[in-house]
Amino acid sequence: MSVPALELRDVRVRFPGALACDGAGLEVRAGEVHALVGENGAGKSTLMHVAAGLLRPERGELRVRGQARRFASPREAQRAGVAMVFQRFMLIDQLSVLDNLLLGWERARGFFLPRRRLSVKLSALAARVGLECPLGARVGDLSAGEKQRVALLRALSRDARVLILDEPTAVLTPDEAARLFDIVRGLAAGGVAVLFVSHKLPEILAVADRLTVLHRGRTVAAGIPRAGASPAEIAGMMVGQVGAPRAEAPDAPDRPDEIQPPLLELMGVSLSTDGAARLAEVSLALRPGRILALAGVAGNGQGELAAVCAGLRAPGAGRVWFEGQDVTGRPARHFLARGVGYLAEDRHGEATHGRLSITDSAALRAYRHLGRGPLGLLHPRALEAHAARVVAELGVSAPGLAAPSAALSGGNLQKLLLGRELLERPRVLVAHQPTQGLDLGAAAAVRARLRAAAREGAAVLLLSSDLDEVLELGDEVRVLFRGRLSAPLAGPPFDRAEAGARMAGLGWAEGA
Amino acid sequence: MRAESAWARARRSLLGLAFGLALGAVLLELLGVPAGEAYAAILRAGFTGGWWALSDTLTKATPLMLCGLGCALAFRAGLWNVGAEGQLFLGAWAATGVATAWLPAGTPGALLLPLMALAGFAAGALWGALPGLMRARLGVSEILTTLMLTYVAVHWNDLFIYAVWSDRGFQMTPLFPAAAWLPRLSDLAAEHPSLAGLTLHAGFLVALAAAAALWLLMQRTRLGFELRVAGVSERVARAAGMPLGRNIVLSLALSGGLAGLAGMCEVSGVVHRLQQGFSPGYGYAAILVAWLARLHPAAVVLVSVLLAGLLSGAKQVQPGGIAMMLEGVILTSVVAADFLGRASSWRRAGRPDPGEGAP
Repeated sequence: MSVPALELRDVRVRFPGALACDGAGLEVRAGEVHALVGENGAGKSTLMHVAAGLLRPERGELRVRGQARRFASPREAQRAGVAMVFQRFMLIDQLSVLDNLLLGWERARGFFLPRRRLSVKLSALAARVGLECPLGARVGDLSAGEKQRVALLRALSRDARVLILDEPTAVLTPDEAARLFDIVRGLAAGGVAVLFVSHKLPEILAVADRLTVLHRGRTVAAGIPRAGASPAEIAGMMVGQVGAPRAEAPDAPDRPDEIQPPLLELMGVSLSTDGAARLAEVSLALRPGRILALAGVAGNGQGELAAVCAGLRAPGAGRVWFEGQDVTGRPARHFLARGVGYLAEDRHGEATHGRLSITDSAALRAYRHLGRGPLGLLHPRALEAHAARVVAELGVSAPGLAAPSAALSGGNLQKLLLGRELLERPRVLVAHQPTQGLDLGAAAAVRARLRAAAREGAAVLLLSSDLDEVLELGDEVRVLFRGRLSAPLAGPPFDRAEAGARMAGLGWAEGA
Repeated sequence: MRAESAWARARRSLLGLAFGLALGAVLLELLGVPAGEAYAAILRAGFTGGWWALSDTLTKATPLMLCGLGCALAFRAGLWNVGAEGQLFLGAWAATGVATAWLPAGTPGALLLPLMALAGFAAGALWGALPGLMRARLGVSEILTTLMLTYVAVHWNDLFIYAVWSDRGFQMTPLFPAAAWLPRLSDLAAEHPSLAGLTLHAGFLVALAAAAALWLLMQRTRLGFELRVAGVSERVARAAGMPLGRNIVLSLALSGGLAGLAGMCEVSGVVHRLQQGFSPGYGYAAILVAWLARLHPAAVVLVSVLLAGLLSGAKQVQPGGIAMMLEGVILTSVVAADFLGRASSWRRAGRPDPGEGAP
């Protein structure tokens, strides 16, 4: 067998408080499309960033065409023929295609760029990636698919022999994606080694020759041929299940038997963002004392669904009910007044801001009722006392209440945000990625609080891309995929493999 | 809301002031004016030259203070009201209408003055609320609309000065009846002869009261809390269920109202008629006042008095153009010191401040 074009072995990367990769590796050969698959947070991007010279591993081996290398920068990786095309393309919208291609052009000697000669050369290459627009076109005017072809062309124009595509279909329409698959296969046929990073099984099966599966930063299947595993088996590997379904999760929380009428109810909710459909006919009911947990890969409509439930966005179609009353289109403060708490995914952009003090961040819910005296004046001492309560209640370790919230670590910030919701005794609590990026201790504390809130009678909606978390906390588990919500999975105990397959887009009726 | 200490900020401003004075001195010497004498003259004429100097300075500080408070309010809420000048003009216009045209002659001062203040405030508030509505409903940048509406207001006033209310064809309205004059210190000269000739009027007290009211609003009310949060991040304010659109209109209206009140005080306390050029750009200087005061109401009081002293003192230096040059040099230095100091503290912190909208 020939020498692999790129080989990664036993890579370990540690981020503050978390191990992103440990024991990860893969090898890709010239002329093949190799898929790297795994859930969100499985370490795919981390591993690819190592290959592209963006991250230096703590341990592990990197070989390019058999030679051991250590890339100090993306530029070095590029010189060695390893190029990465990012999800967001990293192009400059204001410049022309040609200018984007020539940015950082290294081989030009002397002061002037031989633009005309280069543009002839690049036009020939453009045909290979199916780029039809003139090189003088402004990148900002191109479609997502065309931009991606420009990014591909930029990588090829630098003699990339290993091409890493990070979630390349995330921003493409199905037609554009099909076109990309053709281009990718054409490039492989021309001798390029293509690494295709994805968590969508159908497209992997459509394009890859072989695949490597990562779970929790570790390679669980290396370079198996596409035909060597059934889709269900691959989905199982992605969620860390090999062989028979695992038995009941440890220490199952007490689940109330009695089903109460729903507090918050969505009926046939559809929603578009910037013309793209994000939610399609979603119906769900949140009942007191129960946690409805929605599994799903991030970006399948979770943000929109959370926003609708918190009253921050009005559905394009469908209705929202609260205790049997139609509240569709009511402003967020109406939802707040009815006791809907919201734990936003974007903690430092939406839930609070790094420049707001810890006191102000904690007061963002309670300030409405912290006023004192006949005029309802808000005294700073009242705000501080409230923040101190939140901090004490949740065990937040804070440098001081007047410090900006940016000074808090991720876990402590999330505890503060959760505490400010819980102190309002929410009747409904919407938690979007509540433990993402948290260290294990903080994540466990947040989960315990969510469970406790449900036990005390709150209706909890959990949206998470962490399947373990969903299966552990959910009284009812459903899967969100491309804006559609599955029927409740059978259980508890829930079938991990079934959830995994659904998250990867298997088992959905076409067009339904 | 910023971690940096108040002392560090003050020190930076003082450093900028010292640098500006030194640079100004060099320029003065180059022009052949003895710098020491010039500065002594400014100090005398602006502050220490006697009661008349202080009275003059505080009179000039009054519109600066009111407009500065208005700007500070808007900036705190993350809104760039750069049209205080226009709001001041419209406030002066409405106050003039009440004083000379719309009420029966002989209305007593006890009724006339509050009505003038109310009309001035309301007209300024309207001129602020319009950009607020456009911003809240249509997303139109308030920077452009507040600035553009200033030109409308100035020419609206011209229309009345030249034609509608013109005093025998002169470019001014007739003098207000005495009942429409804000009381001055010199009115008390009969009992206290030492007050003769002092032009400071009751508008100064109005401005001080406005500073206290603004502090109370921003630091002690729910609305103030909402405005502060929206000033840091609209997205956070929205997610917290705050009525963003209403608050935008409200804060720009209050901001404009304070500037309108400044216009009323100016025509009723100083000029006693509406005429062209009654404001040497108080509304624009107020942007600077608010910025230098870091949007703190108490600091706005202090900064506007200092700036007013510089403005009136520098007029004593001949030739006349030098006064403007000195002002420019000193203010630029203070602003630059402030900005450069903050930029370097960002560098030390390792990253620029992402949400920096208002100063």
